[in-house]
Amino acid sequence: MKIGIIGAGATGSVFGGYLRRGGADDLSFVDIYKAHMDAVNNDGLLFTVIGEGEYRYTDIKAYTDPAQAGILDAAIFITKANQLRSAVKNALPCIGPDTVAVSLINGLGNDEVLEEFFPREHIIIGSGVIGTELPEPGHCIAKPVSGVNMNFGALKKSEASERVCCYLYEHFKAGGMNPMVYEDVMPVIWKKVIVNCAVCGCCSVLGLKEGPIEDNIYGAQLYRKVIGEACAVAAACGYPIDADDFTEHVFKNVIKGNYDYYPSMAQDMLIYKRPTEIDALNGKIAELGRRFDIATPVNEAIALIVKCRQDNYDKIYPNG
Amino acid sequence: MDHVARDGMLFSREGADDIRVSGFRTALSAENIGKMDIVVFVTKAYQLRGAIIGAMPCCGENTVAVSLINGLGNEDVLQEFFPPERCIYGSGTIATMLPEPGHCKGFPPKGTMINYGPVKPSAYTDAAGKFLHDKFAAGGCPTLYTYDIATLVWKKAIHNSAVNTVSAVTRLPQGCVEDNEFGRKLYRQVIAEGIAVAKAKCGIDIDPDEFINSFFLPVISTGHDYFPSMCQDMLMNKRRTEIDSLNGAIAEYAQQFGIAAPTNAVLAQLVSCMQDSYDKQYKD
Repeated sequence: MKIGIIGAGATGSVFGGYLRRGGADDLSFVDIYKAHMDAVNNDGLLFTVIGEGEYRYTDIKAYTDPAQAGILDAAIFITKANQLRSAVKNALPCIGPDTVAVSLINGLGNDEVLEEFFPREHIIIGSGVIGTELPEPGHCIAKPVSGVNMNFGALKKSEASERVCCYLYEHFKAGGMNPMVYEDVMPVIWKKVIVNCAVCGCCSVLGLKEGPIEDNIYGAQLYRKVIGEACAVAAACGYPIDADDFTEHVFKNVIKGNYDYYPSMAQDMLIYKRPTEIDALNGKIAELGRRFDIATPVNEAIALIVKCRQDNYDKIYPNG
Repeated sequence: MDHVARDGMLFSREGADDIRVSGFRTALSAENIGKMDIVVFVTKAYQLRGAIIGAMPCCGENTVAVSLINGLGNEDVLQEFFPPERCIYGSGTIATMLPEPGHCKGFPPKGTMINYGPVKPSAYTDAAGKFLHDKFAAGGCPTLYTYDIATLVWKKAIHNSAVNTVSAVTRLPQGCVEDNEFGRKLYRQVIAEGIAVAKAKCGIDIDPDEFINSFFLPVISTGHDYFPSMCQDMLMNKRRTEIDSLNGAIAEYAQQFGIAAPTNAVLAQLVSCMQDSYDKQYKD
């Protein structure tokens, strides 16, 4: 099966590395990061899995121009959510009538973006939970966590989507991941989004790591409110999640494990001063809240603060 | 206190020559200094209750208590200790600095520099108000003693709840926030909620458009690149802010009166969390 990773940054390269380690033999990377693409073509991909070993794969084809990749059987998009639409448009030269599109991108609404370009039967969505890094061109690092670390499923069951789901499941698994395929993947996506709304939204605005926020009485209240509003919106969308139970789960099982960690969106905002995925997280909750007439003032305020800040990185104290 | 007692106070004002004023009596506590006719409190809002308790030895049954402190609720704290007919409250619009002991500096704005008025008008408050007004005026500081102080205090508190707090959480100068569509929306939400709460709590009618066009925007446009005082507390000096007497007070009153002020509430929680956690915050 001819697989393309569209958006082969840290996460895309790691997911590609696992597929390759699992035996995927026709793998292409597409990314505008030319130094990385050149390094993969010239020296192969150096794939470090913390606690497991180092691997070098010299048969991955890497392109900055999607037109050169040829028509793909499966196009796996691993961009930022805010880049997905332009990534799909840019990748159209390697999309054929039978190509299945896969989004492994965090956040809500990625399925809707793919539906602008692909029939539902040709769409798979999901997301991974694994720390990734790209310390230098040609070298990616995976920091695997225990438990299921790759979730996905077809939007609408079809022969094509089934074939790709099976292929991905087998090759992720053989590559050392712990994947799970779902008949209805949306509840999993929602839970991941709600967690990210809480930790990404609050850490970005407060400039604090995940644990110290929960330790503070006001911070813990903010987490609760973000989760509570998002659960109400999820229910309105047809995915009921008990807010109290889920909050306890997040406090006990998620934040404790990431106590001393800035989630990726907070890294974007605080460290790298990059555009964030706020529109696919708290911004999306606020938008859906308006659509369903559900009050989401905390998610909305967080979204407005992050959006105002990311428009003005050059003026922010102390560097502006 | 030692410098002022020994050498007087060096008083600098932008646009005027420095002068040295003397004749102050100073003390580190209010014990054994006699009873005052007027006690003026100029602390941070969250320090007021403690300051009054400390000042009680110099307060007698005729003393008028004056709060010239920014924010909401200072008049309520005064009334925990003094009857309303002996309470005056309000605040100044003059920027100040204390560059070294014995030396203070003022940046006088054009026009009125302090607004204040009685909680409940009486012979006490009016005599004290007239005395302060006359002496401030003779000292070069025009003030306004008015029975409609509540409206002025609320307008200033609503303004500061928007500008101070949103600038602090976005870490941006006040004008840059207004220039951005998302920042502008936050400002407008804070103001709209504040106006509704002022109506519910004090029966004050503030027209939103009039407030924004003739009060809020002129201040922002004259200090486009200015970081308001809460930014200075939070971003530069890592001090406790006055959030409780601004957005925190608006959110609390809203809850008392059963109206919605969710944007003020979330901003208050964000700032409260941040000021508890300066040592753990990301540093550029």
